Amino acid sequence: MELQTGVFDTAVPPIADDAFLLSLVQSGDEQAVATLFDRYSRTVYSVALRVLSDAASAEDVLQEVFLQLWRTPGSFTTDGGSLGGRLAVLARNRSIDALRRRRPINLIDAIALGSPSDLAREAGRNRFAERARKLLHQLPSGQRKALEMAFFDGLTHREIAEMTGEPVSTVKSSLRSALLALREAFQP
Amino acid sequence: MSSSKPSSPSADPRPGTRHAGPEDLVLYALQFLAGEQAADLTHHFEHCAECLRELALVEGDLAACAFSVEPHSPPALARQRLRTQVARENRVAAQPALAAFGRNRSILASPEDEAPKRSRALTLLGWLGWILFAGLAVAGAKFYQEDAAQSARLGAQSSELERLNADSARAHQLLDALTDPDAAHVTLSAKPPAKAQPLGRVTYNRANGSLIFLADDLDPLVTGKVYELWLVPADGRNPIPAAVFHPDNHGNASVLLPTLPAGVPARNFGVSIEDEGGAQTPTPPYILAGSL
Repeated sequence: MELQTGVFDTAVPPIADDAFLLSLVQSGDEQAVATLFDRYSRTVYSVALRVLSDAASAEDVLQEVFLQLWRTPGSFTTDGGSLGGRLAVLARNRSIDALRRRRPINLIDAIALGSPSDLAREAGRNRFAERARKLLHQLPSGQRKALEMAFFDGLTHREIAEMTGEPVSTVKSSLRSALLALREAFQP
Repeated sequence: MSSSKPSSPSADPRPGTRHAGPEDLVLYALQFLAGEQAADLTHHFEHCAECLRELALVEGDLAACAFSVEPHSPPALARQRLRTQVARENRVAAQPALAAFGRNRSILASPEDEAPKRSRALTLLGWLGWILFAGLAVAGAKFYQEDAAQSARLGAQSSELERLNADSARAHQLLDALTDPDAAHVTLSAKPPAKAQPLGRVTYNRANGSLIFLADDLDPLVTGKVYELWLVPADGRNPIPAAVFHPDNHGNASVLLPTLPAGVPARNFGVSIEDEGGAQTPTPPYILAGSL
């Protein structure tokens, strides 16, 4: 049986925004977390699969991320930030933890997307993802490579420097430049 | 990262007071900083709204990067798995709340301690009684609903258990028939052979590594010797020992579901004679052999 905890039984907004759903999750609404799962599980799973290259491990990360959302919804509330973005980055971080078999690192995170995309809607997510893919491919090869190695392969700036033969300072600079280029491209 | 203040580190040497450099922000967001360096920045972000804003922007950039992955749908059962766990945790979380409700009720049941304010207390208790009743009615309805669902679930699980028991009994019956030393094994052929020759049959499922081996007319072995079944992989790897076995008094033997790695492509199967306990490489010749 799926427990219905009330709010969704009586008034379901056509497209409930993330903040509204998060507030329901905070009050223990199981349907709300399921709705957020429907909305963002594809993104979270895709990121985990890209990092881990293993379907079973990616599903474990997917469960871990949404259980964290369920258990500590308060840590996901952002002032105008993007829940989808937060979940995507969390999926990456948890996947890297799994890859390196290390304990999860709890650092401060406060996410903001440089684009007013409506990630709550599937069409908005698809448009945003398509644009991000295109922009990533347009980056200079060195920057793109450094960013992919750092973000998806979890290689540190020192490891990337060792592998590419570039000085550490160049790798750091490439990472920053790549992210700045992405941000500027997303500016309205 | 474009903000000037965080990009120019302050001269204040105290830990956690220095603004984050733009490249350090990126490394922090990527979780590449560790130990003291990460702790100092974490401490700093807790007190510096400007650097926190910069960090949020960097994490937003990383989120855009995350969204660039090729989309894949999660397994169909992932949603149900999450919902089951969430429901379990929700039920566990609900129990202390109900216990607290019971404690409140017991306090309300001792009005004599409030004798000087009796009339007001009685009015209050009257209202509280109605509130309590309403709460109990809601809780009762919810419990009834849950109980009905639990019963339905229990019924479904009982049916499933019965089916599994029946399957299990049938599987045991099949195994008993195959392995019972008193069972008769007859090979049917067009013409009766002049002399019965040892014969083995292997059924092998590469996908899950399951194997069934049945043999007839095996010669008895001298003490200290065993038969050993081998799987010869098609990819050139060394033969894999599947199991050692002894034939019964009629020369019949069976090996059922030995532990084998899944996914090994087999080229041949063979049976050799080895010392008691088995060997890691087959001793030639194979007394039985067959290829796929």
